Amino acid sequence: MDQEQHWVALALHGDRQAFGSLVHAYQRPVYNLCYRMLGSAGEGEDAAQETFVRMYTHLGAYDPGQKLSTWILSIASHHCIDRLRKRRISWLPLDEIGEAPQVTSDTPHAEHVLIKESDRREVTRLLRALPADYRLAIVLRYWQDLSYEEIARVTGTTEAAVKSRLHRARQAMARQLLDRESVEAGSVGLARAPNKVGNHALL
Amino acid sequence: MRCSESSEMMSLAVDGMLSAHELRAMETHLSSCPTCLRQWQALQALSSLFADQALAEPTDGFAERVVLRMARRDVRRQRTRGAVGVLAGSATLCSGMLAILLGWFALAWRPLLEAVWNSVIQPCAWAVWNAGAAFVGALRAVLNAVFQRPTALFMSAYVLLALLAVGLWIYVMWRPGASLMLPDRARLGRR
Repeated sequence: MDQEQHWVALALHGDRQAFGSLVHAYQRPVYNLCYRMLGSAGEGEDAAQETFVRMYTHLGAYDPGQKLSTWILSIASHHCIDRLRKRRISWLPLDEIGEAPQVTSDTPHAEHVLIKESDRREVTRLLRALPADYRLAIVLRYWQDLSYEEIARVTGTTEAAVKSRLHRARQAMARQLLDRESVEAGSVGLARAPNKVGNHALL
Repeated sequence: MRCSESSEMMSLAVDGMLSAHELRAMETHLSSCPTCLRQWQALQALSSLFADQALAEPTDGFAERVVLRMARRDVRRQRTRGAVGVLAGSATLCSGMLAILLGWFALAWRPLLEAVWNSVIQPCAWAVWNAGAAFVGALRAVLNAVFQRPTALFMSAYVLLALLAVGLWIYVMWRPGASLMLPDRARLGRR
């Protein structure tokens, strides 16, 4: 029996310390998933906490033959999708999204930090524009580095559906990038506007 | 290769899921299609943008906060269970005591109860029953008088009048901005 299964067995008998060890082991992937899905640090924290509470409550239903990470991410995914369905109006202004790093003029790498912050906002904006199930596929693919098969298991769909969701999500985000680029080019003048998309091109 | 096929292959290529042969076919298409090439460049820009994003981490003490949340939930559940138990117990106790009290009262005060039943309750019940029967009889007589004897003209006039009354009521209640219950503020304001 490996360490995780040992903790699960202890937690099943009410050992909160063993459960705390499980939370420690999975807090990063679960929090990241909730934060990326919901777009705010506060809601991400709340959803991640609720995921672990649900995990503890339903620990008896866990099949030891299944990968624990898949099971936990599945709980987190369903919880986030439920929250997004209940949230009819997105009332959070973009400026309040996520944890922003503190930047002062004395910071030695202030420019680097500013670029990072701008990229983070761009990623949040791109994810926000996606439907919840597309967003979930992207988060699981890019941050959890799951295969198509694993994403299908976490989300409870088929590999073909995962392939299609990733394709459509990427198409939608690429369209956003290209649209923004053409708007910028139109407002500044084509000759002077930097080609953001081209800068990243590797072909 | 068509652009739609190329678009699907691009997503797979980003994930490294294409064979060398498929990759070559896609590249051949890209070299002759500026629109798809633009999309491919955008996809690569996206990949590099996402690759730079680290895993977001919760603030320190996350596991402790989860355990605290569970403890609070346990306390809430225990309180709810306790409150439900106290309520159920109290209700059972009260109903038991009431049953005993009523039984004792019925046995101890039986003569009095019988007297009250015979002199007050029974006559009242009969009076109510007789009044009801008289009312029903009168109503039946009126209805018989209306439906058996009268002419079609009387009935038609009655139905027409009723319909007119209903129509008038609907018009008064539903016309825009009108209410019988509330003053029309807009109209009052204009005055």
